[in-house]
Amino acid sequence: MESWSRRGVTKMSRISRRHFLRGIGGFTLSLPTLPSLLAPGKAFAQSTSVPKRFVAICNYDGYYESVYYPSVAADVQFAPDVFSKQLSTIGGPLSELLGPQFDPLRPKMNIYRGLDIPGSIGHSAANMLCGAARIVFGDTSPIDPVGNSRSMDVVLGKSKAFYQKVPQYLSLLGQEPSYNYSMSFDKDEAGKTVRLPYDRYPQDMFQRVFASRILDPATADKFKAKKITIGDLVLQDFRSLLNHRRISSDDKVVVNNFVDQLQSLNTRINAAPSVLTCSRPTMRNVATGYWERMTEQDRFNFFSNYIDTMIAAMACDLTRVCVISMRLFGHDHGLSHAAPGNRENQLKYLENTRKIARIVAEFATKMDAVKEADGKSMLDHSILFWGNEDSNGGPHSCISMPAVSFGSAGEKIKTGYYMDYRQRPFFRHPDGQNIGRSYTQLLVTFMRALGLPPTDYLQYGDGGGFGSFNKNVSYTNGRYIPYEASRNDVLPFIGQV
Amino acid sequence: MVKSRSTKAIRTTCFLAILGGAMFAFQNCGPAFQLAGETSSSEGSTGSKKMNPFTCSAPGGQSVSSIRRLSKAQYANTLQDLLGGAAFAQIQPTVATLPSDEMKLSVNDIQKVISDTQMTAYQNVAEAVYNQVLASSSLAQSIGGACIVQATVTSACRDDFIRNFGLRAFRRPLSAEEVGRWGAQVFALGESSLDRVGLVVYGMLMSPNFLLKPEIGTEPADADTFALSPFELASRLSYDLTDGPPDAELMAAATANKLSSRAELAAHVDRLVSSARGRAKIRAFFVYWLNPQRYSAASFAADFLQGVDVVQLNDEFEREMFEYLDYMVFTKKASLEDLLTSRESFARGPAAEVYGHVPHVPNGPPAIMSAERKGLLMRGPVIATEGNETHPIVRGVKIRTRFLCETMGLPSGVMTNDPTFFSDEARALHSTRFRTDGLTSQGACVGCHRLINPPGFAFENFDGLGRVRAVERAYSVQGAFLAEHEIRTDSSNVLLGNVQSVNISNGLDVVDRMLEANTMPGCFVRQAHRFYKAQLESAEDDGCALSSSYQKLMVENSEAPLLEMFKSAYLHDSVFRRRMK
Repeated sequence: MESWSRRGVTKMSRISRRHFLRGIGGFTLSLPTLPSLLAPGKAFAQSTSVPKRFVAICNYDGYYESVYYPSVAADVQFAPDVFSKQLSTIGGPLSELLGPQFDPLRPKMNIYRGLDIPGSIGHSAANMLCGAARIVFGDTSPIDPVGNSRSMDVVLGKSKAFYQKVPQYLSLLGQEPSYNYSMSFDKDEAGKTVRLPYDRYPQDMFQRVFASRILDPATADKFKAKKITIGDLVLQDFRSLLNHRRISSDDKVVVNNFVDQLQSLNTRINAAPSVLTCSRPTMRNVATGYWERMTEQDRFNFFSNYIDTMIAAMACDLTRVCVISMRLFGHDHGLSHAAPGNRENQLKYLENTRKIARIVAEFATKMDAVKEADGKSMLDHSILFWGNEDSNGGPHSCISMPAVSFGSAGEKIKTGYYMDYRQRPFFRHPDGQNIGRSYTQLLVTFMRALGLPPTDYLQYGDGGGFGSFNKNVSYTNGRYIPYEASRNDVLPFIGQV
Repeated sequence: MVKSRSTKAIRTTCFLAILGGAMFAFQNCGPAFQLAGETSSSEGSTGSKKMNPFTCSAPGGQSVSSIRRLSKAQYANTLQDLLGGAAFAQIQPTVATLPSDEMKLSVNDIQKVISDTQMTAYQNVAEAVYNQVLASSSLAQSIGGACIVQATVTSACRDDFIRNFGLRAFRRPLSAEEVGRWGAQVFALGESSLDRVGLVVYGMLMSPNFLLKPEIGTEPADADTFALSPFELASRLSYDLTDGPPDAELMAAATANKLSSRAELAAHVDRLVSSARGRAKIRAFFVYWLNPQRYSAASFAADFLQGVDVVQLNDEFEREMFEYLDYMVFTKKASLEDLLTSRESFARGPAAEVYGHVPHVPNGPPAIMSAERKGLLMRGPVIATEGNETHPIVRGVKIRTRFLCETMGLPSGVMTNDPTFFSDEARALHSTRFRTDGLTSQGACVGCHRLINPPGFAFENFDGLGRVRAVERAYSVQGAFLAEHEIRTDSSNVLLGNVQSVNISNGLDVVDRMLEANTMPGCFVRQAHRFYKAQLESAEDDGCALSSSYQKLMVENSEAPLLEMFKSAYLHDSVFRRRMK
């Protein structure tokens, strides 16, 4: 499904290729492609410590359990309901979905099973990054996560523990254009849920991050000082408006937000280098407009453009948080709902999911090719999390949420394992999967590994910690109750480094 | 073997297919159920279409819930007018990086606050314009006049530039103090003539007076309700009706204080609504109201498509619908009834085949659609659903939410792939209507689905692509043909906003019945109000404007009811004032 854009409505058309090239001043075409443009040590030669980054690749519509996980059991028990299997010991491809392109990444990745969001439902954009149930659904409503939930990328973006210095851009969020369905949630000053905007085209993201930086260094330095001066003057105008007697309390929410953002912008301008310290990526030519018109190669190029822009921006320390949201290449939502026992159906769905897996592998491989000052890779210092809004495709449930991660955040989590956290003896949910423990533990593990103290995230959920965990959800005979106590803990084994 | 409905219990949930055909379990929904943040306090009484459902009790202020920023479209149009087309084309790629803020389904789509991404985008655009000025003496001259690029700039030249550019950027005159401040604190920072111009432009593009649309009036009194200044009124009219800044005529009228009566506004409102941007805004309203969709070929089986090029069909559906809307609103000066019942069409190519007529000849008279369909509601983009089988619940929800302004409640949280209803065997044995009925006719489901299902079933004679069909062809998940089923489109005792329930035989009846009562036209007025004001209506502040719009649309014998409705809220006394909340 693709909503109508205002393409046919307004006079403002999408960027033509000619305009795009003119806009970026022609400097991109002769540049080499990633990762070769980022020479070892170049990105952070001046840094004393290598920053950590978080990348999320968000999918929709769920998966088929039988083709997602390794066919061999995680048979090494670490603790009750904690089983592992080293990925290096699994012969052949990791699973039907995770093919040979993941083999070089095996030592640096984990596959997780048995992480649930009890009480949540399918197509909840709050599932993957908030670990939270949603409270409202409807044709005309927002899709709010429960309570005070915020998504993990937002929490990271606001944490001083994560951003030791403030970058020029807080986060880069991109998605395929056919789906306007942000998985990033914040709250405004009035406490209303705000879904963060995503770029719908990599060209837009590239433009914002790189293309406007065309001043020569001397001019740029002078302009930077003037921008800060003007920024302060403009702030006075905002404050003067704020103090006007005809500004209502509702108005103040809006104006205060502008003041905050402008102050933040001024701080970022002050902190950021005037000119880039690393190279810009080369953008592939991709037709814009409706997703349905793109060829398959265009779609791969589309995501490669996102990947290269994001990795270059991270290498420049212009951002440390990147999120890509994508649906299936074949847009087979109907297939995702069909009976999971139907092998033919699975294979057809798998064909499209594998294309997403290819993009995930490309992202991880390219991050691994960027060498940092300490000789390790960008991936080694980061976490790339590949997840989904739903688990099992048929019922779109939230039992055993699909989750694969890459990178150890600087050896803060163990990697190279297939982890199975399902409860033993198995207990089957009516939706067809065996239940496990709280999915929030995975997000907590990531946030802790990335340097966040619990005080930075525990308040963002249903009141009991990060995300939500409804221990009393029906059909489970109280089997979740013992796991409430550990919902805010790092995952056993993986997180206990 | 498919279990019968009587032998297999249906779970204590109901299932609502919505937006893409996903199955969701809903309960507690009904016509009176309101969503958080979607409450409306201007509900009127149900009656005949000539009975105005809105009441005008206190024609005082027109509320604006909070100060609003320029939308992305408004921002782009304002920049385009400020810089000129050629310069704007250069920065358009940067403008495109502003986050999208279209109102797709509800006012909740528009975030009141901005993100760091948005602020960064504003700054990048301002910086891109600065860079352009720095690189182009001719652009600097076009912005600041010939004298501004001289080696020595007189104070008169500087002040003229600041005053004139400021007037256009802030949509109001700058005070002498402001002119002095921009000159002393920004212009003076520059190290060259181009730098000085660029810095002022950069700063003004970051100013609240450019990014926001303050409405603070000029009266000294502290009353909650106050008159807008002429320039604020000009901005309100222009941005609301065209998504663009006030044009020269409107600014001249504001300067001459000739925007103080409805008579003085009338010519401006006429001009704005009929301008290219005004027409685009009306198109955008219909996109918001109808939420048209396009589905890719991958959503359909090859046998189902029968060689139809889905991309071409979608393009033609879209083009035709816009041509139809333009024709009805501006050329035919149609009523709402015309819009929803006319069989005139401008379809060509595959869309003409779907609509059952020979291709429309460009600039020729409209073609006539086949007798099974009429009006907007039965056009492809509105009636299409995803996949080989229809989704009557999706169609029913659209009727209830978009046409009757009803809201849906919370999903209960459990979904199923119950083979009783979703297996290929079930599809082979039973029609979509039968299976949908089976899923939703028990327990708590009934409350919602007795409202949703009947109007959805009424369109079962249209397949997922919007083609008329005599029988339902069922397909397996793999797209193999399974069976044909009889189609039923009739229902009894259907609630469609009428005083009493009605019987309907098909979608044509749904339209006719809705047009008999004031609920659907009232909803249409409400939706237009929400779209143009980008906020929910309130009885206290908007009842008079809504009532006036309804009069124009349904009660008075207006020459151009639809067009008059779009204009009426801006030709009402309340447009001159704002009430603070």
